[in-house]
Amino acid sequence: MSVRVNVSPSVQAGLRPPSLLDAPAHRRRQSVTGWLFVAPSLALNMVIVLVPAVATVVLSFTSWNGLSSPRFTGLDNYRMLLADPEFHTAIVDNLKWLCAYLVVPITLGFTTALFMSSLRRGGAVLRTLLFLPYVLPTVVTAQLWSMLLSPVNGVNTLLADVGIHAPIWLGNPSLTLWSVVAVDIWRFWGLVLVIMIGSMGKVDTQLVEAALIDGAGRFAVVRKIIIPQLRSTLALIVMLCLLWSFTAFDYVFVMTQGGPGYASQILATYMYSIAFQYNELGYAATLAVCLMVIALFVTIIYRFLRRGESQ
Amino acid sequence: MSLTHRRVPRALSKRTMLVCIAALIAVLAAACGSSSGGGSSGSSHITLTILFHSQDSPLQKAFERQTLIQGFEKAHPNITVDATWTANPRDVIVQQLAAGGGPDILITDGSADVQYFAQQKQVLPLTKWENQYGWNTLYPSWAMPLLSFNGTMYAIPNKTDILVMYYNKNIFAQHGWSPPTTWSQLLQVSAEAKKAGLQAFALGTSDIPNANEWWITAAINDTLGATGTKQLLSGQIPWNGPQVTSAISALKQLWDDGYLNSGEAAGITLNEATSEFLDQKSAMLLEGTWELGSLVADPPGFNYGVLEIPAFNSAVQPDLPLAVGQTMLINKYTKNPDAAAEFLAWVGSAENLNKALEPVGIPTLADLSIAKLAAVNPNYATVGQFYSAASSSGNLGYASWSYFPATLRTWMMTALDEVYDGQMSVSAYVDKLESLYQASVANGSYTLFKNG
Repeated sequence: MSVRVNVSPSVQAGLRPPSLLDAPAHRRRQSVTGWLFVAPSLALNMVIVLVPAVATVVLSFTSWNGLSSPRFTGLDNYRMLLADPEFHTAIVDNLKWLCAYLVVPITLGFTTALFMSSLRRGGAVLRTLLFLPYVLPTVVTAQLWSMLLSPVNGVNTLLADVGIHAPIWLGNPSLTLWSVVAVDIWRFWGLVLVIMIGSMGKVDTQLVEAALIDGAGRFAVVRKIIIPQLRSTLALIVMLCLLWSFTAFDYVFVMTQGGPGYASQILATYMYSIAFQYNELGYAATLAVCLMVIALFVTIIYRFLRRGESQ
Repeated sequence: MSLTHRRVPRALSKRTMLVCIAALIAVLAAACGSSSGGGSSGSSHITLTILFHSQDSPLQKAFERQTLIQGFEKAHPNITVDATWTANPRDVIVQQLAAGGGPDILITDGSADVQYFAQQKQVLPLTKWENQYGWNTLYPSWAMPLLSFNGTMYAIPNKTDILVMYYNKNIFAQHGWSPPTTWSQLLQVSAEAKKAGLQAFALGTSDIPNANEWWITAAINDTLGATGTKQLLSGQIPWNGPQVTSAISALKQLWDDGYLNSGEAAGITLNEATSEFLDQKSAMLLEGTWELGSLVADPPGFNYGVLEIPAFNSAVQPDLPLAVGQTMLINKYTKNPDAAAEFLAWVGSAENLNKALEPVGIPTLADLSIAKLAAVNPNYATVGQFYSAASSSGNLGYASWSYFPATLRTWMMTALDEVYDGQMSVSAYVDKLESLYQASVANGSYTLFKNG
């Protein structure tokens, strides 16, 4: 028995893709039912994501201390943002964080995944051990690292016993940010590794073997065969690195509070201090909008990378 | 049996689905619609809500639970106090107030928030109960402006914080040092401590920068004296004038000389710094009297003493920086203001403030009994004597966490590290203090000394 489906002539002619209205009645009913099921979570998302996001944008044009009525101040907060040296410090620190995030975890994750893919035994144990920091509570590991990096209790005292005078990791303004970044990378790179290992399992081994038989070197195999096949994974990891380097908060908050002075201040901790220590929620909203714009920009980059992949 | 005769489970009908959704919405609405801020005044039984700090010491939590809450409930059988211990009650309170709710009783750290909440009209004036409970005579005159806004009382005090210097008597005796009473003696002892391989002062700011504000409080109070500091806070002396510049320069000198934890302070936590003192690796510690509670509850393995901070120059008398350490206010949204006032009267009574000495801190009482302080620990009695002497000579000082504008205070303790590291000059630092002070006065957020 054949089923007859009425399709609009323009769709049949290939002038436009089929839409919901072109579908037969029972398909439309199914679709409506689907929307009904999605509706509660969509409504919830509207309430807890969209409404606060819009409210944040509106608040960014006001002066508000959290309790009084917000006072409209136009673009004053944005002008202040451009002239704010602490905001500039925070942005520069976030960019340093991003550079480290783009280089270290990806390189470490990729090379270790390559090495582990050739392991015959112990891979699962090693993978678990390296992934472990990622599943430990951040605040706990931050506290532990604070103790380890302390000049009075930590590794410095051990190094001093063997005659090495180590720097003050969290107290030296030129080292503090990098110390915290290193701790965050210690936590994060295990995730990159696991994603890489998962993707490497899908690399076409026949191509690799063929290339090796044809005399290609190992570096050429990695560059011309393995990396191109990991392109979508790499795009995902780059996007995660971009996003997480700008939303980093917990390690800085627990380990240094953005100090000494403003040496390790990043956007998220600066926003927190403006909102809850200075009670300037309007200005904090401006910083939040700035973060939103960065996140949007990152998403556009990601989509661009994925589009390149499909082409 | 043929499959065609089998009853196939049907998809939910539209009507059933709508009924389910309506029921779900009703349940959610009922759950979200519960009232905030305690029980209704219409019922015979009243429930008051309050948030305490989860970081309070076990001793303090036991006091809050047993003496303040259970004691109050026993004396007032128709009132229940529903207390929650949370990590950052201040943030929670501000968010709940902004949403038109919050606990019936508000706790603030220090008295700066009294001005903030009162100015924003989020708390009830205590005028109605002030005479009834004798609050206007129970508390010392210096504390009343800190509990008030525009001359109206809004808060009761929980404790007084006094900034002092702790010193290790054993170390001092071992090296033949005398407790310093002048700035030059303090520098000399610090130099000798360093020579002996000890930290002169334990200091840690990596987790919270408050130890920086204690040092700034000491420097400003003991460079300008009580009168000068009041003039500074009243706007009669500029923050970027020679006095404050000299005070901050003196701190920078202490840092450069390696007397403040050998320049490691920004890399260690407040607790680690305290441990340095307790482990006898440092000779002295600048901290508030809240530390006495810990030292009395868990005595260190050495004798320690308490000293007044010496004047930073010989031209002024040293003053005793002090503050109202914690206060309680009544939320304007409470449905039970009289019951809330009753609870405040219980907490702020002379009897309970005296009981709070060991677990909470020195009571903020006009009639502070040195004998009662001595009964707990001789060091409390010493602090009581400092207080009596400073009170009678007009040398009660001004601790930053009660008296300084909030934004200035937050900035000054964070940015001091930049002065120490040489990334910011002392003159740039004091210029910023002046601009923050002027901004706080101009936008009306700082009114403490508006009328002198």
